[in-house]
Amino acid sequence: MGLIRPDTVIVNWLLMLPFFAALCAELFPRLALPVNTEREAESLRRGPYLLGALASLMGCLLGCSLLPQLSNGSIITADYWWTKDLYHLRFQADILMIPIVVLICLVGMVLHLHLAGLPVSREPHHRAALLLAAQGCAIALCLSADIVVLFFFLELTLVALWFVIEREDRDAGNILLASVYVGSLVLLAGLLVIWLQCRETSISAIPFLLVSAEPSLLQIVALLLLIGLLPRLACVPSHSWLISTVSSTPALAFLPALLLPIVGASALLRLLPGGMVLPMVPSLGVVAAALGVATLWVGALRAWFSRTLGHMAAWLTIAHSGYLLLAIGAAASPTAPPVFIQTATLHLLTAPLALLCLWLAVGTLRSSFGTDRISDLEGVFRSAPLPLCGFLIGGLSLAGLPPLPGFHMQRFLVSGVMGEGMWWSMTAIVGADIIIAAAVFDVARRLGFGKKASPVRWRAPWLTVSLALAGIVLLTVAVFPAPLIHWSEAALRTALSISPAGGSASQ
Amino acid sequence: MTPEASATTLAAIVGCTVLLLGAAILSIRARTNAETLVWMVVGGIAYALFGLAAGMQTADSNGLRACLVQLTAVLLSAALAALVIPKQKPENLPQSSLSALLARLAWLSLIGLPPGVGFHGKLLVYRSLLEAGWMWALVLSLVGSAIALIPFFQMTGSGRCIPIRGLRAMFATGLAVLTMALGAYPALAIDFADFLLGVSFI
Repeated sequence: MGLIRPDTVIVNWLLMLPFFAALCAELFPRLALPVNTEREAESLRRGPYLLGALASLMGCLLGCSLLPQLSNGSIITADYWWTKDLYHLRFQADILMIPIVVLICLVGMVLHLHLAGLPVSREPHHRAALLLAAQGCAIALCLSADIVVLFFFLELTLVALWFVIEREDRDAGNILLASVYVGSLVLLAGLLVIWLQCRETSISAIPFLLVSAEPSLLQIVALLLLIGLLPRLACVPSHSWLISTVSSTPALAFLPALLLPIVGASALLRLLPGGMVLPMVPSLGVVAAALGVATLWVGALRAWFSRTLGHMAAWLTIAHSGYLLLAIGAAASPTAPPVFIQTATLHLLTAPLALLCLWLAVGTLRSSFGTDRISDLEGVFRSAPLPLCGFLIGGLSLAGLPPLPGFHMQRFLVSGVMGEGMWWSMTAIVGADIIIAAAVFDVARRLGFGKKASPVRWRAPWLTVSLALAGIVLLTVAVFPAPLIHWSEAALRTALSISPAGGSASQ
Repeated sequence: MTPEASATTLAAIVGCTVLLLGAAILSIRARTNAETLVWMVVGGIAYALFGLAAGMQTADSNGLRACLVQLTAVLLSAALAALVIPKQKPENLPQSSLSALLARLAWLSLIGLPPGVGFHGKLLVYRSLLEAGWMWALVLSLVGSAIALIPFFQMTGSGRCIPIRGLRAMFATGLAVLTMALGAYPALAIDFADFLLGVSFI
């Protein structure tokens, strides 16, 4: 097993504490000490979030400690008895997913710190516990090596995020659940067909078993998997949940906006390039590329015309899923080079870091100045320079400007489509990049050099810490991109190296 | 038509009709949460009937097992929901986070979402339908699951639940823990179903 270590146990106990506190507060309300002053309430409010941040930090360290063992392509597996003869609780830690787990822990830590800095926060122990639950489910999903377990944790992540949003605004929560759940049912149909065809639920066995399937069946399965994951990636036409969440609960929209696309992209990578031989399903390429271009352009154009920073961040999140779909679509061509899968892998790590910076900058500005309308925040740079810097580096990384991390992903994607002679894809990518960069520069110009000077001084220590942390991580990856590129190459050689004749290199 | 074939057809037709009438129409049109719960339970039993019919079609134990796991899930969720959902319109009830949480867990299990055992019940039913080659029933079941979100949203949006204390609170919490424990360890539910069927898989 290799995973039961003292630090694992400590992390698990830390993860359990907010749940325990939430349950005790509900079952035994009289045991809680009375809170008499606002100051006492304010100091107690941060406790669950700081505990959650500590647990996430431990998770980061634990993930990093596993990396040396996995760097040579080996895998750590754990197989628990879930049902005797149907499906098992299988987990697999490999070089592809452990950095994603570290990323999820890092995102969780920064989000906990950000929530600790927000001025108004009801029921902090509930929210911290639910965020930890969503984070834990996302980690379990990344590590799952069984299609039923993967689907279970996909759904459980959604339920945890629904609880968070629903407590704040019922309609926004319901739109989130309805949109993503309908996609889940389509995904489930695809997984059931795989299960029936292969008589096996282990993800590593699926590529070999699917080789004997009819090509038409493979096409149907691939399309069902892709369409089922579209809502989680917030791709057009399943993106409405993100916009409604931003409109209804602007202070908490960043939670599903950051976690669900990471979860969706991880599942997509595990199931499509990691579970099927993409060149055998060319129809997937056409659908994915068309949806990718539509998502990219709708997101980029709507971001340009957004009047609030929250909506702009939401549309940029949507736009960025377009790059992933384009990479997957290009990889489904029979002559596609492996660079497209490498692009999708890089996207999984670089996009969340840029989006984290962007969303935290927006959240910090909103909580500090009480609004996120761009026209009301003109000239805010003089009183709050750090959020504007965070917004700028996050946005420009999404636009693929060098030397930010998004540039490396886009470099691989553009070189791949040029090599394949896909000129229309290249035009779509470069055009969308120009629009995104123009939109980000325009907002930065208005916020930086606008005429209105905000009288409010910006003082929010925990917001500063979370934003600075996100910015430092993004800039570190920008300055030292080599480990990132080596990781994507290693993942391509091991976990994502599947061929019907030669089999998977990870076996 | 042989007696077995006619029984299979009858179970499938009854399951289909009850699913359409129970889950899709009557639960949406219900006026109180208690009525909605009753029709949702009827819809859940229809899924169990589908599993039964599929098991009879394929002549193996998977369908019957799915039927029993689904019935276990429905009964547990119904018992939990009945403890916290008010019989009448809940305008004057005080706020209770515990009741609201337990009600949501019960409803999530009823519509087949984790962490409750309802997830595994529905999953096993879907699988047995596919094994029986009944694609129409699988599509109908998936559509039924999507439609079940409407009464779920009506229930969560319609207000407060009965505040529970003391023994009732402990009993309801115990039921919720059992529902989630069976969701986390479905082998227990499947073993229970196997025990009932008298089938050994050793």
